[in-house]
Amino acid sequence: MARSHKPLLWLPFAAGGTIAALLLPGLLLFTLLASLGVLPADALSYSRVSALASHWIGAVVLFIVLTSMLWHAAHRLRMTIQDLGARTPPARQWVARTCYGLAAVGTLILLIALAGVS
Amino acid sequence: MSMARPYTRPVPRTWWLRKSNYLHYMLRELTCVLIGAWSGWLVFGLVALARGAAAWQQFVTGLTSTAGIVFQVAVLVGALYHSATWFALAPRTMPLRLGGRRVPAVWITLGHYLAAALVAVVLLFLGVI
Repeated sequence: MARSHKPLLWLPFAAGGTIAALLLPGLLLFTLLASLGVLPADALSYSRVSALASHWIGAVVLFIVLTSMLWHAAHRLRMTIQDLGARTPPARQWVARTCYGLAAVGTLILLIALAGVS
Repeated sequence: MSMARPYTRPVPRTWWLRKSNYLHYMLRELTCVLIGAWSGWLVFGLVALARGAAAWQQFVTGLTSTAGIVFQVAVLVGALYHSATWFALAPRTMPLRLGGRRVPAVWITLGHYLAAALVAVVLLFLGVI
């Protein structure tokens, strides 16, 4: 039987979907209320957020959360574009490369940014 | 192995407009665009954070602008739809057994809702202190 590399993709897909489902409503509520000035002004202050991102635990959490959501979105978008009519092998390959390519670029930029936060 | 090209049944591109079930499925799948855009935006925010306090302040100003608020409201709506559908499926994707018995589907879904609510409360609490 041919080996499939699909389980390797399913893990970030399922993890990203679960993390997004559990985290995003609360996170968006937080950023929205902070943006509207309902939360105290320093909720999104430079010192607070950089303290979070420069601590190794905060950086690891941010990395896991953001990469899993990026790869979840990439995989889901790829499948949706296929559902919407990209059905020939070259089209499917192009869609896959573009979606996963975007997620890979995002992951790389995230790593560089996290390394640069002090 | 046969060299004949496999037959692919023609499917119109608008198949998802035919039934409300299909439309809901498509809307659910398309929430990934908002989730991906928001994740990308946060990566951009961390780049600003790495560049220093002034760049970070600019990023926050973008969030508080009208466009930023509209974007966040759109992402919140998409995220809520994603959460509701993800939690509804959770009993089937993550079936749970406790003491040899199947945990009822409603409990699993409710547990996810409670966890999401707890995350929101903790985050808001961290924003107030």
